Amino acid sequence: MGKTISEKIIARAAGKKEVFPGEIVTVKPDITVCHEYFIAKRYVKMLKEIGIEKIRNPDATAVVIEHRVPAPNEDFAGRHKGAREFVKNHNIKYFYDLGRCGIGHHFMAEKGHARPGILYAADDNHATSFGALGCIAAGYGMSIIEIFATGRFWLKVPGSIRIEVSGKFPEGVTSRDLMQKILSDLGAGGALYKVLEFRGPTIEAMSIDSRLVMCNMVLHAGAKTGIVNPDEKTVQYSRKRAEQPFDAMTSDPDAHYDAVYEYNVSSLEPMVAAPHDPVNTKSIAQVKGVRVDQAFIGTCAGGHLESMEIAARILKGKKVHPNTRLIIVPTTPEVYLGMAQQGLLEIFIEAGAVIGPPSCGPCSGGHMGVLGAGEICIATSTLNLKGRMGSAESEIYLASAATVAASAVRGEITDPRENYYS
Amino acid sequence: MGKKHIGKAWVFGHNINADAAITYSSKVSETYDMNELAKYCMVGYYPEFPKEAKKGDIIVAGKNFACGHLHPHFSISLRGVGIAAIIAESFSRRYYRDGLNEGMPLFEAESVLEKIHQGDEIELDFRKGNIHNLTSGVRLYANPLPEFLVDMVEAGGLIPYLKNKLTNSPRPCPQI
Repeated sequence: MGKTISEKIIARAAGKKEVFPGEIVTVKPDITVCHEYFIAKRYVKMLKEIGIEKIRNPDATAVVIEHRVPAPNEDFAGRHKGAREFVKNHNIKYFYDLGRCGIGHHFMAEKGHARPGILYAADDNHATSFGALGCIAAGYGMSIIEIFATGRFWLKVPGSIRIEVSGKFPEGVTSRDLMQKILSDLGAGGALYKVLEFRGPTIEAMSIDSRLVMCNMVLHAGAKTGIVNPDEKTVQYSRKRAEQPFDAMTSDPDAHYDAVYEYNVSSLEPMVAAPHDPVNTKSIAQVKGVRVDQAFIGTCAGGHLESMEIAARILKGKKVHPNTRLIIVPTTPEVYLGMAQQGLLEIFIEAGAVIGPPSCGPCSGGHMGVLGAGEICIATSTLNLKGRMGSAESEIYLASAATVAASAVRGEITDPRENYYS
Repeated sequence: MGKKHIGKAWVFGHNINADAAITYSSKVSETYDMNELAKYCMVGYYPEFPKEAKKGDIIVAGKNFACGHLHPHFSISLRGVGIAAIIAESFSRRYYRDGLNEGMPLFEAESVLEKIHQGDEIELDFRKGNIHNLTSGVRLYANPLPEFLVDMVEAGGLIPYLKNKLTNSPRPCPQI
């Protein structure tokens, strides 16, 4: 019987001829990525306790400073300082600091570290984004220490669910809306321990940015990760950026899938996640008219150049509603530059939006747009748990860049398919 | 955990979201201290939990326990309260990893919510995967874990396990 792309990649990383869903193997990651906030307060202590003076694999390790930048308080200044010291002490090969870094879950693709066929290990969960490039990528938490100590970590081989997508998106409807619909159908545990393998003509037509968004959100259905079989688009993208060679493995035609779900996007509506859970899905009709105090376009789930282009088309020549603030944060310096070169910055500034440095922005409630009691935010971010962006008395709706931009103009949740989309 | 453990069952439902359980926020995220985080343990689902739960108690849940984004603060809060083990119908992949790595014995078994009720006294044998509801007499059997993961949990988690391996092994950095 044939194998899925996921089984092939994990077998290769485990040094085995083949692997089977459910078995526990140890794998060697091709790259290990630490997002800055755990290093000083957790990893340094843990490594000291074990007795590790030098990590095992500094040439295959990266550290990114991007969650809260520039340091918004002393706590984070300390975390960043600790991260820099860690890089120096362990001779870590890949280090990206403020001004030369973006959100890890996009930036590492731009730098060619996420590429087809590899096993990508991060500490932060939304690393699943990189399945878009045909690799196995996920967050593994404390297992990072296992990798530092031994060069490998334990992993349970996931089964795969195939998601077949066909049809053309109507105007104003995007990959984000498709993913929200899929999450709604699967529910919080509907893909537990599985890889969501996205296939079909609609996926093939999607940009890399859209594929990153799809794979980013899978964890809300309990999936291990998401993946898109690499095609010409993927290979072109990675060939330009990856220093190391890569092997664009794909699923065999007779591979086994635990389930197959089919979607046609031709009649898909804009979808929104309502407070306080990313799977609490509503159609736009159910939530339109809700007052919006703050709108935010950004994060690894919606701050790519494609999202910015969509938002700019809606905001061009328009103004943000007087009772609403619009915060726009690109994922990476490359995206920011693209916005500048395409004249998008001008559109956003003239509309009355504020633009932040490439980073996670206000997503995790630390700075750049913390919500006060009673405030309502609509955002392209990853999570809307109670208190995520500030006050426990605030509410967050999650939606596509089109919906967020349209809502920022009206000052209330708005269907982007209406006359704001031209 | 040692050979066998007896504890009181605290029953929760399906899809317990780890961030919601500890009302995770920027403020909560500031500390990794076990005793500080114990104050948030499961409060999103039962506000009195940190006051009423005792060291050695057992959490019992349905499917997809500790789902969602999950931050390490969740597993730390459970250790802070002194929860001795978790029995669930299934675990989120992230908590399966974090829990075992933090030294929490995890028992994955079928029909848990039908067979264990709030306050039941439960006897557990982690290495064998045996669950005995002493209150009702019912027995359950957990899905077996590989030996090395059981060893790791019984050593107290990934950190003590690696520490032992590295000090005792003839090779510089053994693979797990």
